[in-house]
Amino acid sequence: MDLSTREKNIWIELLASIFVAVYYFSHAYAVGGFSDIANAVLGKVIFNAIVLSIVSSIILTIIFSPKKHETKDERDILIDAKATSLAYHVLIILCVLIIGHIMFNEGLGYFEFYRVQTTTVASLMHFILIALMVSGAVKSISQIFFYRRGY
Amino acid sequence: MAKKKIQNNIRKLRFLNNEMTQAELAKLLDVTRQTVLAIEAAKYSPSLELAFKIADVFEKPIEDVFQYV
Repeated sequence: MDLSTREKNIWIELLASIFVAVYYFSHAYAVGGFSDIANAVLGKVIFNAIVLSIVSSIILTIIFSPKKHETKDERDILIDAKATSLAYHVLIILCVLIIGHIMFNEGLGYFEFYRVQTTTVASLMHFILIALMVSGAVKSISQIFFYRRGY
Repeated sequence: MAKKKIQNNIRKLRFLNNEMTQAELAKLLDVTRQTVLAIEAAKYSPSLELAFKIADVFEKPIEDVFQYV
């Protein structure tokens, strides 16, 4: 597959964030990080996730070997803008869902049927983190899609 | 009414210009080779400025390079 430097960089960014997300959320859930933010083990998981992010980026850069520098042309800017717009809408929808979850679960006492779990500060942090990661992935995937399909 | 599309003769013009490669044209236009490829395949409609630049490279009027049919 003939990939431009920009496409290679997008793949590196996407794959590295998927590795980090899978590692972080599987381990954070296992150590109870969704219920307690002041968990010493969670700190170690966060540190390992940062290290994994750096290492996976380096390895993926070696695998994809993108050229050092490539200036953005008008098509890159257009695709970037379209993908950012899509990611923004996804982020807004997820933020509204998080706010709705908090309102129904915690704020408004008369929605007892909805109360599935107590929203902790840690779970809230993770919901926001998931929203940011999903919107980032939407941006990368839509960029790859527009580059491949043509725009 | 049938939908019109922007078509181009870039491939033919490149061939007539000493078989210029996509990479050479991309360098002259200051864009990536993938953008030239996308324009040639009618997968991307360039800006008016880039369209004029392409016509300028081949020393042709813009209507000889791009057609709206």
